[in-house]
Amino acid sequence: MKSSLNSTLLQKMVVVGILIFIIALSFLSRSFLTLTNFNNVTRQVSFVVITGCAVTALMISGNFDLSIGSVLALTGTISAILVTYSVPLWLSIILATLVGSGIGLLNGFMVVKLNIPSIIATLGTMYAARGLALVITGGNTIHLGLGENFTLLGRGYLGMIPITFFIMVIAVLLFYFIESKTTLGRYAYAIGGNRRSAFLSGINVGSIVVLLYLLVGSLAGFSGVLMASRLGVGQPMVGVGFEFDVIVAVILGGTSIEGGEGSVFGMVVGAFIVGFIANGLNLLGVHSFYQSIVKGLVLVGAVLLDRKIKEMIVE
Amino acid sequence: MGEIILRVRSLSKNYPGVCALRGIDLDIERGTIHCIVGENGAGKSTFIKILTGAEKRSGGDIYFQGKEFKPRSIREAMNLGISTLFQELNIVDQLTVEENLILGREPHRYGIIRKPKYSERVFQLMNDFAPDIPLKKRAGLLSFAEKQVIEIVRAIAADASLLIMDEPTAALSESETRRLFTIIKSLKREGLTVIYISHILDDIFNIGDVVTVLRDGEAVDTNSVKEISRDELVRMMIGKVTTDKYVPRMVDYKEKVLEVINLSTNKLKRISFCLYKGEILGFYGLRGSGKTEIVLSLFGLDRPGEGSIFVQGRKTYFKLPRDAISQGIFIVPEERLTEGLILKLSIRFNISISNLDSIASFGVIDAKDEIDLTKEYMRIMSIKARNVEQQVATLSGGNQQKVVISKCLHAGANILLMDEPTRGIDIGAKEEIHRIIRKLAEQGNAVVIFSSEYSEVLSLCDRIYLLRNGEIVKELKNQEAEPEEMLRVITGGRWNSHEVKLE
Amino acid sequence: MMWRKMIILLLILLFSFTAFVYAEESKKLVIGQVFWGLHDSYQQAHQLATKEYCESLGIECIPMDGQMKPEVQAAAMEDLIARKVDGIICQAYDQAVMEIYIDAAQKAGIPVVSFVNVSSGKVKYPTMQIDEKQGAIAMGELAAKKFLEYFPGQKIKMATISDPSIEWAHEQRTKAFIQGVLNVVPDAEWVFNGGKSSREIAYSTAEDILQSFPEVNIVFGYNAENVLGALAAFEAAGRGKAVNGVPVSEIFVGVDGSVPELIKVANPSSAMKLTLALQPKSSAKKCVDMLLKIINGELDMYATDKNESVVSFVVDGWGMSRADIEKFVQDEWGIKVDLSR
Repeated sequence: MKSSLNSTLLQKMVVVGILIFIIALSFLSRSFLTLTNFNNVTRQVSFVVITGCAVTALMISGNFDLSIGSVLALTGTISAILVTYSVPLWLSIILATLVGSGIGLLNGFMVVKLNIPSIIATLGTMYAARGLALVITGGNTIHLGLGENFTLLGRGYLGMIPITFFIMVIAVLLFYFIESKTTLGRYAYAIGGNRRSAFLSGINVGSIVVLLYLLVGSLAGFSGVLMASRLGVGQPMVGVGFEFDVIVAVILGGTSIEGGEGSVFGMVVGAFIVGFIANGLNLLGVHSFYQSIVKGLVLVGAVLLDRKIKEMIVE
Repeated sequence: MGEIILRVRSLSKNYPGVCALRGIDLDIERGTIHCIVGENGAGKSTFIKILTGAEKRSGGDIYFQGKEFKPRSIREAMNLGISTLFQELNIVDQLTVEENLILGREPHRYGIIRKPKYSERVFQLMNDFAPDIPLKKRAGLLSFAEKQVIEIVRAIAADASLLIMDEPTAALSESETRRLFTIIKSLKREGLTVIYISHILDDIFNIGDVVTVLRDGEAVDTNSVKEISRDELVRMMIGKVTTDKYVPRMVDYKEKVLEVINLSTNKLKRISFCLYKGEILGFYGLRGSGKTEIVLSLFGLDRPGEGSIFVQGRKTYFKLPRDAISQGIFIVPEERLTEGLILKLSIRFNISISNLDSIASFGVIDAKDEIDLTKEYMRIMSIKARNVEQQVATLSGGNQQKVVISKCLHAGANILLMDEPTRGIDIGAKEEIHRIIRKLAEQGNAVVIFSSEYSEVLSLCDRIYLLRNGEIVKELKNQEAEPEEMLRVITGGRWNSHEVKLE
Repeated sequence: MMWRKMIILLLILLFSFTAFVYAEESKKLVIGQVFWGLHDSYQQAHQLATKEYCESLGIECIPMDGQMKPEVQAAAMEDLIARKVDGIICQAYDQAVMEIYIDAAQKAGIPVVSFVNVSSGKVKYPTMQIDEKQGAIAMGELAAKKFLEYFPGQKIKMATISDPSIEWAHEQRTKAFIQGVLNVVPDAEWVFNGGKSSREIAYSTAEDILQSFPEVNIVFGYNAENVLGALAAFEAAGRGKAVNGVPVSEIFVGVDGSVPELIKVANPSSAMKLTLALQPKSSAKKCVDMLLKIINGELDMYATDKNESVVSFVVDGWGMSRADIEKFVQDEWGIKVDLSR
């Protein structure tokens, strides 16, 4: 399923680790395997995973997007505002998601056509989109007149499982398919692996990168709608630092910061590692200050480990 | 024999896929100017990199002044007494000569820089060697040779007992070269040892005491310069004459597949040539003679100011590589690792990438088709690899090049532009690549070889254009080609002809 | 493969560490508290006081940092509900969001006491309020009187560092203070309002004030971060001074009563003379007591008419001696300080 031997090994080990983790926890704790706790963690990481799917593809191509946290806030508030203007819920979801796509397109345009480094371009949209969210809400939380259905997507259940879980699974499968089976995915690897070589091979590098930004914007937009639905309000200050949560998950999942390698499944594993550790430390009553340190150590440690393993394989 | 300052024993270096040094033994005597010569890819630069700590060795021992020498950085090597004058000078243009001289060792108190003492050795040396260079002048305003002097002075002042010089005269004029030689000779009188690396034989006979020839990562022989003739030296550098000889081929000079008329850019001057079906055409010239620029223009990477390009008789204009590819043109770039391949990815991904649409429907790749296709190319090209999933980074240079050629063919190219197709490839693999190129031509493709190795052009090409300063100066049929004459033409007679004389 | 074993071992260690969390079968009463944001000095004091009080009662208390993010508070609430704690104390960053989770907790049978935020109607829960309005008005009146005394003949120009989107604080603190000033000096002018709840932003906002409204002579910050950030900017510009308790160019007034503020208030050469001290110990104690009342069945978990409150305390640098202030700090914040620094 993966091109390079290195990632396969790392992935296997991470999966083994996760399994051990789950087995250990279910022995040690009666409450761990409860559905409630699993659902909690799932809901908490689903936003990271859904947006992370597209971000993984983008980072494989060697590009960044820092605007996703702000896009999340913007589209969430837009969907809430639209509902208060009695726009049908389904239409408000689509429109808000399209706003996300629009910002993605703008990011792609700036990076490809105006040649602005991706970190700077998306830093710009990060501030602008946040500002826009504050402007359209007047800095307030949109919570009146949203109706019962508004929270359906974010908090609803299908049987015993949250709807967000299914959305997440669909996104992951879709992007796994894109990554491994389609020309788009292949081009992303090629561009991230060696942009010059990809260009010389006749790949339309520009439009592929724009398309990837568009996908990231769309999924961030949709995640924003989900987030608003989960919180039951349109809040302009949600998702501060969300971009880093996503990037951490993607990098923990074995995606190279230079691009050219990585996988959606790895990102899912990374997101769940962060989610479970945060969840566990929270319940342990570990002060958030220390949690932040743990997060930093896990990230740097994992990347270091990844490099060590690769060196070992090369030798 | 005097004291041995540097003793190298079975030094080897392997890069993924390439063996750059295969067990070098070398003794360097104190107070001599020891030259190391060899063709491109013989291992000279790898050898320097290991000596200076820029690269880790794969095996072997080095003893410097009797002690084991294993530097981890250029600075550490310097502190131990080995300084290097690289081709790229380490001079900060924004600083003055004086500031450059004491860079990194500025006298200071609590981090505040104080006025330097002019009685210091570095300034005395500067005064000895080049009293004409003003200390307060901005280094950016100096010539290359003057900057070089600063570097040399800096190296000596740092108490180097061994100075490595990598092609120091490559960018120097005649008079500057003379001045450099004067300096080197006075260094020798002061008891300094110099390792002098060059492929300009005149230099070696001018100042060298001892010369070691490197070829294909091995030290072929070490001789006193006085006891060796140029011819012997050249023979040692080139080694056995390859069996890879030109066999006259039947080319039907009727069907022009590519015609270029008066192509001009700011580097190229009115380039006109044509290429026939089934032909192997060569462009031979020194580095910087315009070979790469022709490739760029023909592949939509550089927009020609003037001139026209006809493919199969139709006038075309390339804005992007894609446009050229759609006309059946593909390149094998000079920089295989950074332009030809995507090292992190597998053989399979690298070959199919040039034409994914052919194995995909609605953007979904047919993995089975892709694997079959890769296997087929691996068979035709006899690419040696474990399987289709092997990372191209772990292949040898020759096999990597075969992947690049497979990629061209998969793109549906019938005009192949190959820029230095065998650079950095082992001799055996080189011949194999040449066989592949001949086969491609026989199958009706047209190939253009851009090369700075006369042996390659001579053994492969049916027709040869000689390039000098962005201009085609001569067109030759292979049978008429004389290596000495070719060299004379492309160098404009600047080089001594017997310096590179063949057998 | 040595590395591989080591990695797996590491993962096991890491994960089993977190696993103990779930494993811990608590026999003690366990309550959780979701804070507004633990980077804040008051919040830290409140957390410490809760911890000490709970320990003295033999209760386990789990503090959760809301980090001033609605989604983080939501996740904290979810985790506490999953952990099946016996009760939750929370202070909302976004009340609309928090009420959804209070509702969820109540549905899971977990009582919730809200700190500060009062039920908006849809979801019903009791609140431990802080009555700051009275204190803020009193500070405004006192500041105005002292202004008339020290700056005779001058017109009051006020600047406030206050984030209107944090409605309760803006209303109960900032606007109440303004009202107090106007009660004494009706023609006082309110020339500027800006800032968030962060020290850096307060600092840069104050720099802007120094540029655009250098004539400002009363500065109010609605919490410790805001007033200290602004004061630092003024001090950097050579202002914010007093001579023997008499302000030179302006009067600084804060809210929170954190130690760094109190040091300023007790310092006769600082222009900061008033702060409205929250009383973390009393507040923490009352929150826990209210929650215990519900757990023990003395109070209905949906009651909205049994709210209690702690009245904030005006620390007056003119009227109180240094020793008075030190005693207050010792009693309420549990910190032994030497304010003579």
